[in-house]
Order: sequence, then C-alpha cells, then structure tokens
Amino acid sequence: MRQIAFYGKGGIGKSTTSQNTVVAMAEAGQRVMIVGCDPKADSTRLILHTKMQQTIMSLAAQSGSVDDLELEDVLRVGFQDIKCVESGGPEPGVGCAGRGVITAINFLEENGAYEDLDIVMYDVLGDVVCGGFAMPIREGKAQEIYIVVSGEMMAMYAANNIARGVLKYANSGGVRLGGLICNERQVHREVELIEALAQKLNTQMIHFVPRAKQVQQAELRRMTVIEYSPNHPQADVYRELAKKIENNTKLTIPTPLAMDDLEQLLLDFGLMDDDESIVGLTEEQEKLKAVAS
Amino acid sequence: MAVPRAKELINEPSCEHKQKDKAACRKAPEPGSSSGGCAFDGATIALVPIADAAHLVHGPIACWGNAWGSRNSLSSGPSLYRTAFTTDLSENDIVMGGEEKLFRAILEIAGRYSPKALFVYLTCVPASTGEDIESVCKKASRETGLPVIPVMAPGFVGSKVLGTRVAGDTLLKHVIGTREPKETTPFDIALIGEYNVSGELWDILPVFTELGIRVLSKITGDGRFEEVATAHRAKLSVLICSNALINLAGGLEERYGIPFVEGSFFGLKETNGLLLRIVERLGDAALIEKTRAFTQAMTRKTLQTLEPIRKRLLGKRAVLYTGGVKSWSVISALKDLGMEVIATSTRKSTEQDIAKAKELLGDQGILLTRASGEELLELVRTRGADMLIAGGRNQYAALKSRIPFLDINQERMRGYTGYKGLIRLAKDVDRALANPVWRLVLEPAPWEAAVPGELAAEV
Amino acid sequence: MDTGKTNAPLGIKDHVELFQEERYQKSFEAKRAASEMPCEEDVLKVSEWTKTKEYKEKNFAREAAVINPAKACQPLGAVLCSLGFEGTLPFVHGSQGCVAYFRTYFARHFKEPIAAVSSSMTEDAAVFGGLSNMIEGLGNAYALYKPKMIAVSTTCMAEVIGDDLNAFIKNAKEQGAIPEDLPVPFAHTPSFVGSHLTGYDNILKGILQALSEARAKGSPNGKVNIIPGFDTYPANIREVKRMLKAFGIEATILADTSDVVDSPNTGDYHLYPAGTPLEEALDAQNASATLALQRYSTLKTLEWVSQNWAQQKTLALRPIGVKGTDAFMEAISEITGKPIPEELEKERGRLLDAMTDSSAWIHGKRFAIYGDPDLVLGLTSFLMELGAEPAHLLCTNGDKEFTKEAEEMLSSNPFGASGKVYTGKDLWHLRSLLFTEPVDFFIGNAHGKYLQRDTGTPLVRIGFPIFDRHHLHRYPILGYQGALNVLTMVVNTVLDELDRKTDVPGKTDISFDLIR
Repeated sequence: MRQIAFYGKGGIGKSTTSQNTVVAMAEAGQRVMIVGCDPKADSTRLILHTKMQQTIMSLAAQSGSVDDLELEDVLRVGFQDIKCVESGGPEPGVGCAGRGVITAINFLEENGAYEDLDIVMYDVLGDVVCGGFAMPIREGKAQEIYIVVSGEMMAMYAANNIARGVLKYANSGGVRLGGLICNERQVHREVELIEALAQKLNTQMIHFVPRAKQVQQAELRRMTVIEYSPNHPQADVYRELAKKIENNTKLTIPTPLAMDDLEQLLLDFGLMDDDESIVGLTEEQEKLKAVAS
Repeated sequence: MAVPRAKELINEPSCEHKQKDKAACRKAPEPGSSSGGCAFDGATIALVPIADAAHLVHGPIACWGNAWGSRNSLSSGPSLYRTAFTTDLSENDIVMGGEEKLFRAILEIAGRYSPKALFVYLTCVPASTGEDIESVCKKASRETGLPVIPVMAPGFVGSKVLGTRVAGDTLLKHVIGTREPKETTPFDIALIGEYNVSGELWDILPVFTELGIRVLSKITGDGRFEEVATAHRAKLSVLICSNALINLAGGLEERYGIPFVEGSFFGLKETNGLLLRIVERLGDAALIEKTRAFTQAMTRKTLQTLEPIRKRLLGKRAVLYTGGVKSWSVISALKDLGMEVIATSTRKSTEQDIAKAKELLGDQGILLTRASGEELLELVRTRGADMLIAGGRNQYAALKSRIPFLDINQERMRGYTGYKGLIRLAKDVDRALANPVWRLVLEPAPWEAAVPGELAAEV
Repeated sequence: MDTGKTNAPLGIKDHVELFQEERYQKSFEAKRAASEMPCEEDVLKVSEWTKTKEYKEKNFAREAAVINPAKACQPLGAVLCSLGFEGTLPFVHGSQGCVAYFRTYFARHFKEPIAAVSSSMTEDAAVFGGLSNMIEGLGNAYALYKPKMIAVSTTCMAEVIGDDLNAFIKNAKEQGAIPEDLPVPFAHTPSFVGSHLTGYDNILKGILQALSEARAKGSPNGKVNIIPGFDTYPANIREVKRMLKAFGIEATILADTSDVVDSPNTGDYHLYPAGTPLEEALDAQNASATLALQRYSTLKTLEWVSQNWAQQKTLALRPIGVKGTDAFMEAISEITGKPIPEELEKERGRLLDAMTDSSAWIHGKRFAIYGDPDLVLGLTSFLMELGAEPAHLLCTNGDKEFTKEAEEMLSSNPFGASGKVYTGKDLWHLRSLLFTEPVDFFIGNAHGKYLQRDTGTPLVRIGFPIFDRHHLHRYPILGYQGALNVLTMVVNTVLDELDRKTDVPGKTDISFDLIR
C-alpha cells in the first residue's frame, strides 16, 4: 500500500487536483481511499457528489467519543468505489483542528480502515500550521508528499514552508518529497518558474495542470472531470498525473530555501520589485518624489 | 487569551529581591530532571482553601484527577472546597472546543451546590487551544448571579510560586473589594499566605483573640469568600509566606494603602517578633504593652513545657530541605529546641530569606540551591546529621536510607506554628529520632552479626 | 487559650481532638448564627434534598461537570508500567506539573520513593513544539540518572500540539543526546483519551515492541509471560510468582513492579531497586504463552502480542475469587502440561473452608463496588460466590465491552439479579445511588471515606489510591490466598459494623456478642 499526501496553500485547487487524481488512479484499477484532513470537509465532495456530512469529528461530537463510532459510520464509498473519509473539525475560532486530524487518523488505524487498499491519499489543509497537520507525514503514514503550487508569490511561499515541514520529518523518518504539481494561474513564465523552484527544492515539477473551464463545469455538478467528461483532454491531464505519481521514483529530501533566496527567485522572475527606494512611501509621497525628479 | 502575564507577576515591585534577580522566579525547570509542581498546582494551593466556594478545574482528567482532595488545608465549617469539580475534557471537547461544556458545568454546579462563588481554573490544554474562559466566566456570572472567577494559571506558564502569584493577582482583581465588612475595628488585620495546613491557623487565631486583634480576612486558610472579599478594609496585612503572595500584599498597599509586615510563626523568636511587629504597626501603646507581657509570659511557659524534650534534642543535627520563608524560620524554631541545622535550601527563597538563613546557620552551614533526593541523603551521611526535615517527596527515600525524617511541608500531619505548634514540633522531632524502630533497622539481623567468618575476623 | 497566668504546662491538642471540645463546637455554632454560613436548618434541608430520588434524577442528568472522579490519566498508568522494568526511567514529555503529581500520588499510595522525570515543556514549547525540550530532557535524564532504558509517554499538552515522539527520539539519538543503542520505547498517552489503564496498555505495547525489534525471535524458552496489568498491589505479583513456582514454572513478569514499589529497607536508596530484567524482557517473545491478569488494561498489548509473537496462547484472565483463580490454574496447567500442585490445592481447600465459616454473615448483603473494570468484575464474581448481592457496579473508566461483560456476569447468577452497571459515572453519582437505593456495604478506594461519612455505608478499602490506611497493598487480593484476604476484610467489616450498631449499653447491646 502506498500512502501519499497533497499539501498546498488554501484556494490553490488542491482538493480538485487530489480528487481528480485519485479517480484516475481508481479508474486504472487501484483500490483507493481518500482522507480529508481539513475541518471544511470538502476533500471528497466531487467523488461523493455531495458534501460529506458524517465527518469523524462531527459524529464523535454527537455520540460523545470516537470510541463509540464504527468505521461504517464515517466511511462512504463514491465514484469508482473510492473510499472516502473526512476528519472534520471545529468551527472557525474554537477548539483544535490539528488535534482533530490526529484523532481521525488514530481512529482509522484502530478500526482497520487501511486494509485491502493500494493507495491512501491525504488531502491536508493549507500550510502545515501545527503538529496535528503534520500527522499524515509521520512515520508509518504518508511517505510521499506532493505540493500543489502555482506561479503566484504566496503559493510559492507556502510550498517552501511545506518543504520545511517535510524536511523536519524526512530527517527522522522515511517521508520524501515526490514533486510539485503546478496548477496553472497564467503567471508569466509559470512553468520555468516552478521548475526553477523545484530544482532549488531538490525536487521536480512532476506535472503541469493547465487551466480548463471543464474543471469548473464538472465542479458545478459536484463531479470530477474524469467522471463528467471522461473524453475531455483535461481528464487525460489528470490521468497522466496519476500515472506519473504511480511511476515516480524521484523521491527526495527537500532543501527548502532561505527567505532571501526565495525572494531572489521571485525577483529573477519579476514577481517582486527590488526597488528599495519606494519602501514605506505613501501614494502622496511617491507623487511628490516623481514631481521632484 | 489573557493568560498569565508571567513577567509582570514575577517583576512584582513589592518583590524587592527580584529587581536584582528577575530570572530567579521565572527560571524554567530543567528538562529531564525530576520536577516540582506547576503554576496550576500553586494556584490551587492558594485558592482552594476558600471553603465555601466551588473550585472547578477546566481541563482533562489529569489535572484534578491526580490532585483532588490531597491538600491538608482544613475548614472549620463548609466542606464544599473538598468536592472535586472538573470538566474532564475529552478528545472531542478539545477538538471541537470546550467553552460550551464549561459554561454548562458552571450552571450545573451553581444550581446544585449554592456556592458563595466559583473559581474556574484554566489548565494547559484549553490554554493551548485558546479557549476564552474569561468570557465564559463573565457570561456565567451574569446568568447565575454568582461571582465566577477565572484563574489563569495553566501549568506550562511556570512554577508553583508563579501559580500562587497568579492566585494573588486573581484575588486582587476579582475578589477583594467586592464586599464590605459588617463592622470594622481599629485592630483588623488580613492574614495572607496561611493555608491552615493541619489546622495551624487554629494555634494562631486564639493568640490574636487574646490580644484583641481581629483577623478580618484569612487568605486563605479556613477562608470564606465574603471574608476574603473584605480584605481591603484591613488596617494591616500580615504576610506569612512572603515569596508566594507578596504581590497580593503589595497590591493591597498600592490600591488601598494597607501596609504589610512579613514574618513567620515558626518558633518562639519568630512568633514573638512577628506579634510585636504587628502591634507596633497598629501603633496602639496599650496593645503593644499587652503584647509584650503576653509574649514574655508565653515564652516562659513554652520553654517550661519544652524543657524535658529539649534535654533530649540538645545538640541534635538536622538537614533542612524546604523552601521560601521556612528555609530560615524553621531553623529558628529548631534552634529554640536546642538543635543545630547544618544545611538548608534556598529554593523559592528571596534574598532576604537567604540572608536570614545564612545568619542563622552560622559559618559552617551549607546553603543548598537545589538538591536531588540522593544528594540530600549523601549530605546527611557525610555531615553526620541525625535527621532530615523536608517534604513528602523526600520522605520515603530518607526512610529507605534509615534516616529519621519529619515532614515540614504541605503534607505535614500536625501543625507546627505558634507556641503550641512549637511544642508539637518538638514532640514530633523527638519521636522521629527516638522511635525504637530505628534501633531495629540500624542493628544487623542477629544471624548477620553471628556470621562465623566475621566473628573470627573480629577476634 | 492558656496564657502565662497560671503555671500549668501548655495543653497541646491536635486538630483531631481539639474541635471535639465543647468550646470549639460552640464557637462554630456562633459563627453560623452570625450568618457567616447558612443556618443549620438550611444546610440540613439542602443536604436532605441531595438524598432524594428527585435529586438523583437531576444528578444523573448532569452532563458537563464531573464531580469527584474515580479515574486517573493515561501517563500515570504509563509511569507505573515503566517502573516495572529494570533500570527504567519513566520520562513524561509535556508540562512538568503532571509528573510532580504522579510521583506524589504513587508515593502516597505505596509509601515508597518514586522516580519519574518530565521534559518540562513551557509556554514557548507549547507554541513551537517540544522537540528541543525532548532532546535536552533525554540528554539530561540520561546523564543524571543513568537509566538502562527510558520509557517515554506524553501529557495532554504535547498531544494537543501534536509532537511526534518517534521523530523526536530519533533526532535525540542522531544529535548524540543519548546513545544510539539505548532503548527508548514510547507511547502517545493523551490524558483526554481513556484513563490510566489505556496509558498502561499503550506504553507496555511500546516497550514490548521496542524490545522485540531489538532482538530477533529465537528458540522457544519454555517460559510463560505474565502481564499483571495496572495492579497497585505489589503483593499480587509476588503471589502469582509464588503460585507459578509451586507449579515449577519459570515465568517472566511484564512489568514486575513488585520490588520497585515495595522494596526492603536495606539502608540504601536505589533509584532503580528492581523490575523485570531487560534480558528477560528481550526474551519474552520466545515464551510459550502470554497471560494477562487484567483484561481492560492490556487490550492493545495482548492483540499485538498475539499478532507478533505467534505463541501457543495469548489470553486475559482474572484470578480473583475461587472461580477466577481456578480458571488461571487450569490455563497454566493446560499450557505447561503440569498438574495442579498439591500445595495450591490445599490452599484452595482452606479458602473454601474459610468461606463456609463466614458466608452466613455475608449472604444476602447488598454491596456497591467501584473501581477499575477488572477489579470490579473480579470482586463482583467473588462476592456472588459468597452469597452477597452486588447492587451497583460503578466504573468511571468502563466501556461498552465492560458493561456487556458485567451485565452478563450479573444476569447469569441469581445473586446478581438486582445488580446494575454504571460506566462514565463519578463518585457523586454513586453518592445518590447509596442514598436512593442503599446497600449494606461498599468497596472502593480511599475517596470512598467521604461517601461513608455522608451515607453511613461502611467501606471496604480495595482499589487505588488508598492514602488513608497503611499497607493494604502489601497483602495480595489475587489467587486463593488473596481471596482469603478479601474475605477477611469483608467479613470483618460486616462484624465491625454489627458491633458498632450494638454497642450502646442498656439499649442496643443485647446483640453485642463475644462470639460471631
């Protein structure tokens, strides 16, 4: 059984990518489980055609304890017989979502959810924010991490941070970085940029996912592209990604960038301005300065 | 989250020594060594003795499950403080947030037990997940009409001493000044830092009654919520355990202009001295005169009662391992008994405490900053001490090493303060040293002595 | 008070006697009158109300506050288990205060020094993770206390922030804080999950796992492994060892706390007085069978053992009372092929004889029992063997499985017909039960003394913690000999109570008999 995890900045299209990828894997005959590690619980929506209501934490809250839950209560089977589980978690502003991820994964392990599977995919909330969100990459869990990224500055910052998290665990355990998945945002020289970032991180850009309207069309119907329009070229994009992951042997210990190096990379690609003279100037002051010169 | 302004509390202005050595109180315990109590422990030590309040611990079972009912602070009336209330947070509560459960728990307790007030103790876990227990307490207070007081001392913020300071701060902020006494007298005092361990307070209160001094507010031994709340009307506060609640005494002075005296009721000299300092600060000539006569008479009488025991204790040597004021005041008490102290600890002690300890120990005395159980036992052996006087955590290691032992810390079974307490201390030290079991343990078993080889060797 | 006016010596009384004096009683009365407290009548009214059925219903509807809990937390159980291995230092990763509590708690129960350390996480560690505390802590602990093994468990704070023990310990070894070959088993033991039993189970599994990874499986050693479970009676372990010796069987106790929490006075204090030799523990996988003496504190461990050690037999028994001990004897005999030793058969005979002597006093008496699940079940079974009627079985840390087992035990025996099982309930619930559905006696730990005071029901102290009576843990409650001790405690409590009820001269002393 292979366990892989997708990390990435919020809003980058991580859940869409991971769901399309596992569907492609399942289509190719793999037995797959996807574990959503995000209180929003939207990691399985496109496979189940509905937002998962029975998250582990919401059911545990109702019954008083996870000990009272059975695996069938929280496990739903969706398109292509993909097993779907969501950790769930608290409302924003209260509780401890990170611990919720730990609780959920412990529950799944103790209740035999990992039996008869070829692939387990963890879709993990945004950045690595606390120890709980690193649970999926602890020893004995996901051994391959893929970071979903785009050519936007903040997405790259996040990717570098995630690489730092992976490095921390790579030193003591077997976890490795499998590559960056670039979701196109139509940034200038995006492929080159992400390839450069990948190189600096000692990894690869394993795949470039072009932007396609078909993805939104499918999402409106709460489906993956592969299910909605299996013959669309975008479906093949995800099939290709799935294949690449399946055959991926380039698993590395990442070398995260120092902040200066990352900023230099952004400067090199014109994503940041290095004009120190404008720092701290208001619009008014800039005008005055322009007039003066 | 309004947790623990640890730095402020440690840099307490009334805490003079801290100006020089600010790090001392805040010093983090060393990872991997055996450790003392946490801030939560300190806060409960200082506040739970308020007997007519309900004390609710907001946290997993660890915090209260392992600690409830284990302090020997006695109450002459209500026993609600002995009932253990906790929210027993489960994994779910932690992940999904426990504020609602806390709120309901407060209502349940308020409805069934009619406490005079509720103290709600924050612990590590809800503090880490950022629960806002101050708002919950406010809301619950509005709902129940009772004072519901958040105590923001989760264990990880620091040591036991820091916890007692948080407790002192809590009393200043939420309790003191919220009630008015029915009447006041010119000789009203607030007694701070006396927790009535094993009923020690009851050896001291009659002394004040005898002298005509009224203890308006006991903080917090045998304490009552409303009585504590009137402390701002005291004419003087008397600080018994100086390091732990100095911020409270300082705060009373700053806010209400109440001066304070520090001292201890361990031993004759200290008891007499403290009583005289109290009446001098109260400033009534007749009272001073009366107190002088009283202390002289009591000294005579105590010494007379002690005489037969003193004969046996004379010259006995003890190693003392306690903390704070006791690190010197107990030396004074033991000297009253004719004993000699060869070492004392300076844990949790102020610079003043240390200076006093040095003076009482003399040139040969040893000041211990921190010693493990084994180091203490080694010291007793190498220095030829007759006994170890320390706290419960060292008790059984000492007994295993066949060293007579007396518990002087919070687990002591009998009160040792005041005149009567000194006599009890003498009796207990005497018993600890003279019990026939020591002869049995120190002698070899008869067959060991009779091993032929050894006999032959002796011959 | 006495002042210097007379020359009589100062009268010194303890708080124990002092407040019995009339003048103090009067002064308390005066205080109440001064409305410092609600008047006697009101107090009585409220206190009477708490005895009613109506109050019981309200009390049982309580869902947020836990009042007087009868359970402890995971790391406490982990510490006890760790102490049972030779040269092993229990190391708890998390805030320091917890460990201070554990040490005090055990020291008060066993009256022995207890060694355990903490990684002393502070506020910073709570935010940034406890890695540096762990590394520094392991390094210091190794240097200061020179253990042969360090068993790491966690407090809830380390668990909330999600510290990864496995990774941390590897880091500590890589950085040279501790030697590479020092065994450092670990278990995640959040106190907000389960109880001390879960913690015992988790760390034992961690220890056995680490030790069997350290050495490949060898040839069968012909021994039997015994797992005592969370047992706070060192004499129990000794008793089991004695029984196995009578069989002529070599056994490995995992973990043997007996000589650690009850060591002889030799004049020297040892940090690690005894415990299961690591060499034996390493060899434990080669035994022919593994028997646990408690079920609910060894669930995960036994499951792991049966999956990984491939032994002839792995099972949990409960050698309390006649039937419980019989099952244990038969299992041992079956596994080893050795006959029941005559010595133990005679012991059984003497126990049965004692039971026939005393059962008349116990027959039909209603009992409440609270404590850990296996203890409650074992005692219930034994009480029914004596003709007593268990009425309330309360187990704060019992689960569904326990409820099922307990209910089956009660319903399969006419003496259990009226018995009810309560899990997740606390001692305040039990208080209501003792008022509304009274029993003649109850069995529990030291905290039961307040229930005895409030309800007048006599308490037989069996369980943990027992802080207020001495040396009870030094007598076994397991095996035939242990059953005899339990019988002695129970029947003498019945007889003491009878004396207490009949000791007023001229009124009730008609039944104050010499011969019982």
